[in-house]
Amino acid sequence: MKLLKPMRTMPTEDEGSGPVLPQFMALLDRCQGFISKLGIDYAQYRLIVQTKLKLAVRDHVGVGMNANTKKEQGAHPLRSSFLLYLVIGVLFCLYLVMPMPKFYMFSAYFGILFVMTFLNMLTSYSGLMLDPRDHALYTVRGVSTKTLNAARLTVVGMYLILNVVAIGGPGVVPVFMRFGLLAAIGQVIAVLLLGVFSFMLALFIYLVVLRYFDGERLKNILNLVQIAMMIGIYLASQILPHLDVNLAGQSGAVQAFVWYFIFVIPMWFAGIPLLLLGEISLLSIVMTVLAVVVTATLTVVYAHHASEFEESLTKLNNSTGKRHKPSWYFRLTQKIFCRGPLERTYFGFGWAIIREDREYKLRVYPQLAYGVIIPVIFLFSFVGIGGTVAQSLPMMRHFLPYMILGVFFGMPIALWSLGFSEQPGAMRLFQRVPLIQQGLLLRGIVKAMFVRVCLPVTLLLAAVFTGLSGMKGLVASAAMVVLIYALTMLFGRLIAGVDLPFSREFDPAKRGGTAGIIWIQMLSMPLIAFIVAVGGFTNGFIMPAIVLVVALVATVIIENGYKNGVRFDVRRI
Amino acid sequence: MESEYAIELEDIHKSFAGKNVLKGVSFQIKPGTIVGYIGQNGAGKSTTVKIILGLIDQDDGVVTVFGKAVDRDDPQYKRRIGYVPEGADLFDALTAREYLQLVGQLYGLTAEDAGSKAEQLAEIVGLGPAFDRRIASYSKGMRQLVLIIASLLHDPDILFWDEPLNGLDANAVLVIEEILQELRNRGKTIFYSSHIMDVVQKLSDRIILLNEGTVVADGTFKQLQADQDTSLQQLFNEMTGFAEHGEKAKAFVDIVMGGGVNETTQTDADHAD
Repeated sequence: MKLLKPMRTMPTEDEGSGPVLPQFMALLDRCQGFISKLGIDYAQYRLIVQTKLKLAVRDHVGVGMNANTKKEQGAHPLRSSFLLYLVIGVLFCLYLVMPMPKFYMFSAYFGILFVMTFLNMLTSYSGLMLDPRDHALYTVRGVSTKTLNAARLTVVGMYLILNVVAIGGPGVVPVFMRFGLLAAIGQVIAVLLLGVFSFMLALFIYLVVLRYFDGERLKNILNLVQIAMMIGIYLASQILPHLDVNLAGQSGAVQAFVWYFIFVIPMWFAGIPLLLLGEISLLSIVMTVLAVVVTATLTVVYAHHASEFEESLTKLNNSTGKRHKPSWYFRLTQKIFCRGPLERTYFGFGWAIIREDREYKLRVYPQLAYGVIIPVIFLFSFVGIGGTVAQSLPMMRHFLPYMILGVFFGMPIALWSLGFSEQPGAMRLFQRVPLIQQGLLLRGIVKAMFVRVCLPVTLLLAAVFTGLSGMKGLVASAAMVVLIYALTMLFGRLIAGVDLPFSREFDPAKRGGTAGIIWIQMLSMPLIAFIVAVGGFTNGFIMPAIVLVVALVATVIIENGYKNGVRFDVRRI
Repeated sequence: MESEYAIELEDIHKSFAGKNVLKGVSFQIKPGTIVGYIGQNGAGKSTTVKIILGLIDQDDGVVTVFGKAVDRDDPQYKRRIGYVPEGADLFDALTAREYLQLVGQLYGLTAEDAGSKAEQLAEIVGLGPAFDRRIASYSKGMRQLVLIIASLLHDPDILFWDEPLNGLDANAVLVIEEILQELRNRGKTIFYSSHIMDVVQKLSDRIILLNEGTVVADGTFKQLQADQDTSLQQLFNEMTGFAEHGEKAKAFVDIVMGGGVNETTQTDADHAD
């Protein structure tokens, strides 16, 4: 076939398709025979893999993919991602030099490796696995579900292997140096097997959820797991250093099998290097068997249901259509916090958008968790001084109610994130409708955010600390909740009042906020510490009462300030 | 006192980045009229609509709606207008009920009235069963119906509809066409833009054809025909100077089917095979 006009340049196979890892594609080409024998159309498979790799680069898949902003000749963004993971992997090696029983040492190491890998599967790589467009694009053009599934698994597998090699690879060195070659081989096997396990577990979860629920439920579940894991990481990073676990003198000890170890997944993989090290015990055998058998089972189950998975992906955009009846909490807070029907409308709008914005929740909730973690850390510090919780309580309870203020740490990012949404274009609605008092729109949305995101946590803390601290705690807690509200409204005007809410596209590189937001967060910590210290040491009714009154008055003034001076240029959307 | 015209444009000029998009566009539209506003891509149709809606400012000229200059910040002005933009984004995470209730409330209806009215309208156009499902799961036609309902909830006096029939099935198209005519009969002004000439020809009381920023035809279809037995499509082609559709189609299919090399465009590189 000849073209009517010659093309200006004839791209080579890889040049024309962009930087899609020619070495990786060459490796696949060497496996062509094997791949074809599996019933996969190799030409189609190769083309899909190339396309998905190109798209993954453009969609910034993987940590650090945005770091490479300069266009280098021939450079691939995956390189910066790999290097970043490598640095992280080197830092993780610290776990492998800790003076503690080998089993716990390996368990801690594989624990952090599992969290990183599984989190990546659920966050960065879920888009690669769960792309509903594939079915419409490829299968209608004669690509079998087997070929499509294989291509998808190849791309995700490649990312995962790079991830696992980068993070887990450096750990082989300290293991080799401490325990020898066989242990190092065991370490390599365990790391790779853990990668496969994380992969298969994620796929299995997708398969099960999509089988019984719709796409919306799956997305909600994934979102919850992501948030929970991130909070867990923050919690562990803050609490673990405070734990007084004296294992230093037991580094040579052989750990006995305990039945509940079988429920701790990272411990399964600790069994493999132990076994190869020569520690043939019930513990190492059971753990190794679990690691191998469970991984193999998940793989077989997925392989058996792979075609069903492809069909299920078409459900990703389905929802069951249950009507969201407004909850009593929504109706009550809307009545209490909003003045007038228009503000109630904007409040309801902000509420609905935040309710559904998973990216918003992923950005904000882990940061808010610090507000809960700070009192917990504080608690542990007092326990360390006083002996037990009961012995330390008299000292603690003067300070605890003021610790509620720690929740404010998450407010700057929560307010800043109100500027973004997954569908900024939809805000063009406000070009068409009458936008009366733009400040009311902002105020309603900020209030919705406070009520939905912050208030439940602060009220819960207030209830707990009031129970511990009595009447003084009640007054102090009330003062702190109102103070947080006043500060939220103040900073809402300053931070969220720059652009029309929800009108900007989210930039993954700025998940942690701008430099200004980070400064506000950092500066809020000494302020919080100061108020906690003054409140705790004065331990009376007067100070919190004054704070309560001042915060209430300030709130009224700040809220009224929204009516003037807030002006969004809706035409810029 | 309101003018006899719903919309008046007088000598409107607009340019973007040095390019003249509108070059002295003028027309007056009386209430109770369906106006088909047609033109090639890039002719200036969307720019005209955005100027009337107050989304952009003209460089020169006057735009009045019911005798008043366009004031984009006047909520009363926006309450008289209903707009269906082409391919607009909706809030996918909301259900149709939630979205339409929001829109209704923004136009000044209570939540109950907006929800009830929207539900009734949705039932009529066949959106009832999906009314409480998230918009993310909607087909193109269903999204379009949501946009259409959203533009009508507040009973506007003027409608700007840009490709409103996009994605609708044949039954929905008929219903929407009838709705447009019924609205016109009850005194509404409808400014309708579409590339489907058959529909424009069928529905419009008046047709304004825009070509390269200038009005090149303005009248009823019969007036534009001027005793020739031609369709609006043919008139459009003539007036926009486009007559090569046959040749382009042939060349296109030739490439698809792999035959018909154009000798004048062959080069030595081709012969090298």
